[in-house]
Amino acid sequence: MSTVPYQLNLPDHASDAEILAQVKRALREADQAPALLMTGSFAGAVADAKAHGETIGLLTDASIPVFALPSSIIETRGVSLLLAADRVILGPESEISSAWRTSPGLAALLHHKFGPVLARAITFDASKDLLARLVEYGHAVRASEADALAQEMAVNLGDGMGRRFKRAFKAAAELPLKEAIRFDLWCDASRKASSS
Amino acid sequence: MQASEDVYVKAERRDAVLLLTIDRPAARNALNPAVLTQLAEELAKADRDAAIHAVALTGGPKNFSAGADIDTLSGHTPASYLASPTRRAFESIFRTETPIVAGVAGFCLGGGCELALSCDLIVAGDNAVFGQPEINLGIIPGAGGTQLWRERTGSGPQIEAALMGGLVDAWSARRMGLADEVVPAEAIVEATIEKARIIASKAPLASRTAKAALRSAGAMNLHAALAHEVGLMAGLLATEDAQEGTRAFLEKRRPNYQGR
Repeated sequence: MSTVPYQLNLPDHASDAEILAQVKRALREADQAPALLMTGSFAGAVADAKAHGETIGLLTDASIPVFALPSSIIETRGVSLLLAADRVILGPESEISSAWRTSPGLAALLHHKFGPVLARAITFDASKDLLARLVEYGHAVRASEADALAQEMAVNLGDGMGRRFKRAFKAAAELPLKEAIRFDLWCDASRKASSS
Repeated sequence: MQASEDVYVKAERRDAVLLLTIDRPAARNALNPAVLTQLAEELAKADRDAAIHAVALTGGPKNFSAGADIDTLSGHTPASYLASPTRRAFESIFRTETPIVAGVAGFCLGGGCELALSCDLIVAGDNAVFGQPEINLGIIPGAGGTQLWRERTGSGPQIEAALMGGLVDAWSARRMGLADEVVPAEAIVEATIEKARIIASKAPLASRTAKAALRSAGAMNLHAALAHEVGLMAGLLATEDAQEGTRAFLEKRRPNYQGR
């Protein structure tokens, strides 16, 4: 199993259908990678809601950790890509469009990621800087060398650990607490059995 | 090996649990008459064997069953299907008296889903996908797929499954009550056996009687089912197991049930 994360570079001016196709291919090809890094352009607005919705669904259900590394302007479509990711690493040039509140799916994704209280704090408070709130609430981190930090984070996710964490998080979101803990214990027992 | 000798269902004893594994991986465990007949025979044998207290039924970690062989279905006339081994086997499986825990990973579609729903509890692997896609083939489910979801999920998911033929993942299945537990797919066999072992540790006569009482819910109205339940319960009071159970409780020890 590789220790190198798979990098998906989102091109400028890509349509929603093109992004969907790229995300599908990346998730298929990243099967052995510890994580998926989304880099490139987070600009643009949603034109094809169906394709965009499918992209967001694929990212939130991805079997490996997804890190978003926006390096320039983040517009309304990019906001939902950030919120669908497991972790966001902001480079020195990352900046948010002032229209971020109009991003489709914003309320649902904020609620899913931060819970009802913080989701309301982000949407209703006067703050104009979404990125600052994402850093404050722990979803994003700022780094002068975003790619280096992502590689460093991926080191801890090799040997199937990234995949195991994602399954455990999914179980925690979907199952009662004791069943979710038992789920991870079964994962651990199966891993030990297969390695012995 | 001749086709008539093919073994598609592996049977293993794990103490008081019978582990049945559908073993037709090249066809994603699709249910042909041989698979269903072998399953029905193994379950009938389990019913006759007092040493088997529970059954764990799985298809392994990849697929439970992708459904009925399309070839098998397409070869039938209305008359021949009603008299077919396939239909008889489904009925026989549904009537099994021994409690059955289904361990479902991967595809659990069509007849495979009906087979799982004929069991008493369903453990789902996190890769499980349930569905009744028959409507997409111009037919409808014929072994309980328009009836057996409702008891677990209520009307909405039952109707969606039968009319829209969509797929339900393991997490949604757990939320709607179609599955009783979700485990990692690679642990499906052991997790299913573990649940079956819990059932097998109880008094076997009581377990089979509880199953009979539970099944009466769909077969009679509430008043009749309650009367049926009290009759079944009274019958158990005369068993040695019932006396052993109460004695062990009072003596603060584990009961040793004999199935008498």
